Amino acid sequence: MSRTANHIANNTANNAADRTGRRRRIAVVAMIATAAIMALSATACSESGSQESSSTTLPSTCAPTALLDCARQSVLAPYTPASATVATGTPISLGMINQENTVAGSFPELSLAVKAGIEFINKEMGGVKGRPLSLEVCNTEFSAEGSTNCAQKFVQQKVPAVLGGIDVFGNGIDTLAQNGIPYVGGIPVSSQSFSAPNSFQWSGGSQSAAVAFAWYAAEQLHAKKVSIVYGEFGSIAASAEMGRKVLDDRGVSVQMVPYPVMSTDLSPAINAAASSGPDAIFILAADSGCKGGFDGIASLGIEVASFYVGACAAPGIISQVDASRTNGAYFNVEGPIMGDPPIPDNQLYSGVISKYGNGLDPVGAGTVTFRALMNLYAILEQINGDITPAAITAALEATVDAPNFAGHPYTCNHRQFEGLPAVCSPQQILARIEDRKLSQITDWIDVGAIYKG
Amino acid sequence: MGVYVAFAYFEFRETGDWVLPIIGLPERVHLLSRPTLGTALTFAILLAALLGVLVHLLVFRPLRRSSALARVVAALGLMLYLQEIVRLRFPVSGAAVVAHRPVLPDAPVRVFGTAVTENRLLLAAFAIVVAAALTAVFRFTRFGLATRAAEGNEKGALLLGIAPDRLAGVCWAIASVLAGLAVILIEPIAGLSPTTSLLVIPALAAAMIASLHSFALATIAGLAIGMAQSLLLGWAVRPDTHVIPGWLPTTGLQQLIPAIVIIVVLIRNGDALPDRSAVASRRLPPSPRPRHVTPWTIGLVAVVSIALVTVGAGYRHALIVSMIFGLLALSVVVLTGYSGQISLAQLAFAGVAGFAAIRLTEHHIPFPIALVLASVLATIIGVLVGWPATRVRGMSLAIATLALAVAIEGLVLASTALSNGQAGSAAPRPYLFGIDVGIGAAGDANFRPAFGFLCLGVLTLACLAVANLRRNRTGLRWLAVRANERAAAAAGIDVTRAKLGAFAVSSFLAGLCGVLMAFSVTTLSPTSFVVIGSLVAVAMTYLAGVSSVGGALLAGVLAQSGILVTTINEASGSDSSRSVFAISGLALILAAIWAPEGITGLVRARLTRPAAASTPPTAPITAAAIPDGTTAPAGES
Repeated sequence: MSRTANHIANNTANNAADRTGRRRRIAVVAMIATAAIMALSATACSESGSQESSSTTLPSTCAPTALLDCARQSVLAPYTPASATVATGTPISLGMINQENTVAGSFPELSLAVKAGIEFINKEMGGVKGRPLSLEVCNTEFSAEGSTNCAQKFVQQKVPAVLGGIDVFGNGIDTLAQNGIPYVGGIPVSSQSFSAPNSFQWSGGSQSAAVAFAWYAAEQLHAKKVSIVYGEFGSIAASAEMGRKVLDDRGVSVQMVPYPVMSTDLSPAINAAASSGPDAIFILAADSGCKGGFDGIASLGIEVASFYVGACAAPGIISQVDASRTNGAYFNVEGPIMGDPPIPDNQLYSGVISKYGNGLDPVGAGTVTFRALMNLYAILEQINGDITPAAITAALEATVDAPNFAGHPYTCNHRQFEGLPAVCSPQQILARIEDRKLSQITDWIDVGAIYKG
Repeated sequence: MGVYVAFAYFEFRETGDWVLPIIGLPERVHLLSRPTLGTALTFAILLAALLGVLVHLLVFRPLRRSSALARVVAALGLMLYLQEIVRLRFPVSGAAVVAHRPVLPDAPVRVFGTAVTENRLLLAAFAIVVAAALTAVFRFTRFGLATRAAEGNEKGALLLGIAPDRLAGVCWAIASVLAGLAVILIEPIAGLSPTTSLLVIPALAAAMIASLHSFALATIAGLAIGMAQSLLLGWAVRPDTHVIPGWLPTTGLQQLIPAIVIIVVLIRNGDALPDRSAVASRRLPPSPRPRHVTPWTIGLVAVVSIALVTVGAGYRHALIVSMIFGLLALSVVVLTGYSGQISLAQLAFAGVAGFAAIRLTEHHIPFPIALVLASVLATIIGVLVGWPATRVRGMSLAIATLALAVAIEGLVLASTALSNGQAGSAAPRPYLFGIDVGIGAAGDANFRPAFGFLCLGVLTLACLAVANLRRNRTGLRWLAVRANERAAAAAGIDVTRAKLGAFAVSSFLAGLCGVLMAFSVTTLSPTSFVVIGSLVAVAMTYLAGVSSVGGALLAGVLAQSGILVTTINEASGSDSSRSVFAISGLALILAAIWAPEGITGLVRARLTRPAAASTPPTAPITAAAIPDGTTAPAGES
């Protein structure tokens, strides 16, 4: 048997080595994905709700010839010209830091969505006061050094602002901060993206989700006992603690159940969580754990209010789980759910992506970076005088309830969410799923105020 | 491999297409219009078997006679290649994703008052049936007997007319099919992505308990490890029990179980673990005696110094990154190139030292002292991790250090006390005798040359020390141990001391690398020290030349964000092409098979060949005389 044994041994050993590395990286990537898809769920859900096996054409999209008509209905209305106008002035260069083409995952949709948006702005919206936008995307190659390199490159190019994609390390944000350059939007995963003085974010991350769940469970469901099942990793663990604080403040008893974030079989954790007989269970899972959550709760056969991050409502996940297992589950979303009448911002987004996206699937995290681009575009349009890093920072910090592309109006005064000063719009909406169709059950929840207590 | 097979299976099940795993060929071939469960499973089994045989023939069979390190490197290359294939050819997001139809039903059933899903029970049953079948095959069939004969005595089996190579191919096919089926069946529970985490470490722990011999024992051990992990979680989170103190990281503990099992088994079994796939003794590449040290040193230091003050910020950063990675590669050269040990925990040592240095300087300990203290801490941990090396060697040692690296990562690096968790820590500004040697500055002045000179100084001293080590008695003793432990022991060399000494020096160098890393980034994150980095470091050093200082420096040049990559990116104006990982994976496999001496070895061979041809070799330099009169077959050829 030596051959088998030996070859299996060698093979397994080597793979073991490789996979340990991978498992760590999955943790990171999974965490990213959670944050990512959370924010996109507003758009994504609309699709999953209306049609199961949809292609890239959405029913509620703008016709390619009518993008400007849609723009006039959207938050971009003040900047929309009467007819398609091509920008011809001196270009304004923007940077973007993203993680693409690495073994630890690739997120090209984040930059592709921004490129599509920029093409639309340059070819139809007339650019920023006649000046076209240009974009350079820099790849972090999944390392702290790569992140720093990207930022330094943009410092030397003297760009007025850098858009965020995904950057697990966030060292580039430190470098940009040293040079006073704002870092705008993206999927906030690094601690710098949540707290650096030059970071401006329109996604509340899993932290906002946990606070919204806690408020709803305590105030609306009148839960007495809550179990929080969470991946023990970085911002997800921090989110669980924030949810616990909100529940504690309201006299709800809480059981914390961590599980290794790389594990996708949540049954043992859910079993442990169910043992205390809770009225509600929060599953703060990375998207790879969503299915495990649905299956775990179903296999226990218990009737309990279960809350999932918006990532879990993505069509790709919901379609793989039997509808009876998802029925009644709660999710957080960061924008109103598309229904009747359709929401112009979402229509414009899908219209732009189908016209300029080169085949990019509109269902994806691209919504997050697209939103940041459009908000930055509005800010640039408002600046009178030179477009400099300082001018953009000042304009962002001066916003009060500014219109947010497909989201809650935002205020970037660094005081919207305690402990996460970069978040401009932490507000969340909760939705519930029935027969794979998501429907909105709350208005905007003011997460920042609730957490402050 | 299992992951590719599973992806191919699910794709075939939905579309009837076979997605080819070879870059350069068309992405997919349409085979069937309406695949059924039966045809799809048959397809998956055939594909897995084919893949297993191909990997055996093309990768591991040529490496039979190579060192364990070469096989580790080849396996890493194979992993990079297949992972990249999966990432490039199977969409994981968007409309093109295919549904993964589960093979097994997953309705809940109640067992002993607890609800579980059917597929879990069926999976456990499947594992037991497979184990029983394998046991029967290997006990009662001619094939099984032949395989066991070949295991017992390969040459004897050969004389009896058994072809060990063919048997190995069959075993590869079986292993590959089992791996593929396991990933397919476990998909509803464990999920599937290009980076799917098979629980291979626990699986390995189970196989280790069975001494890689007994299928039944391995199956039982595997089930037991899984149960222990679940029980541990149950104890930890139930509010009414206090078996496990609250301050211990629960999930870290779960991860630790398999690591502990592996180490205990390895140490208990000592060198009894099977490692017999090699026909002849395996040799590491020759380690040449460093020559022309002074001119090389002066030349390189001068070139780097001039570069530091003349080039732009981007290249300055690349130089700094290359120098820091060079230190890590140097630690691999000392450990693997000089003493023949393998460690997959080098980056974990670096991480401990890096965070320790930050904590020390925060407590107002001057930077140079913190640099040394933190590296000494890495040395202590390195010697502890190296302890199994006194009992096991080769692939088993690689596994043991890997398991310990995971433990360090989960329990030490991730601890909030040391690293401040995922958020990471920022190092205070370093001062050397009152001079600011910090790296950060605004605008174009960032990546200050002062920090570059600090790195240059540390690297130069380290290189000189290592070159000197190779020439003095200690280094010669290590080389003797590397070449033949028993002969070295017979010659009066304390093998244990030699090995631990190599671990100590190597982890001190890794510690220096970690400290410089800590002060070269704005915020140091534990993610910088994930264990894959150690693997990459070993592989890169191997590619560049694992047995010489020059190899370590070249590995630094090749490093990610290092000089070479930066130059290519600047020249091409974009970052590397789509298939770069697949190609580097192939390069690693090729290097492991054909160029075990690495790039520096190839260059040296080319430089010395004309001389050797013109003048006949005067004296064989294969034996180096050790001052105490013994002769060490140090592998210098």
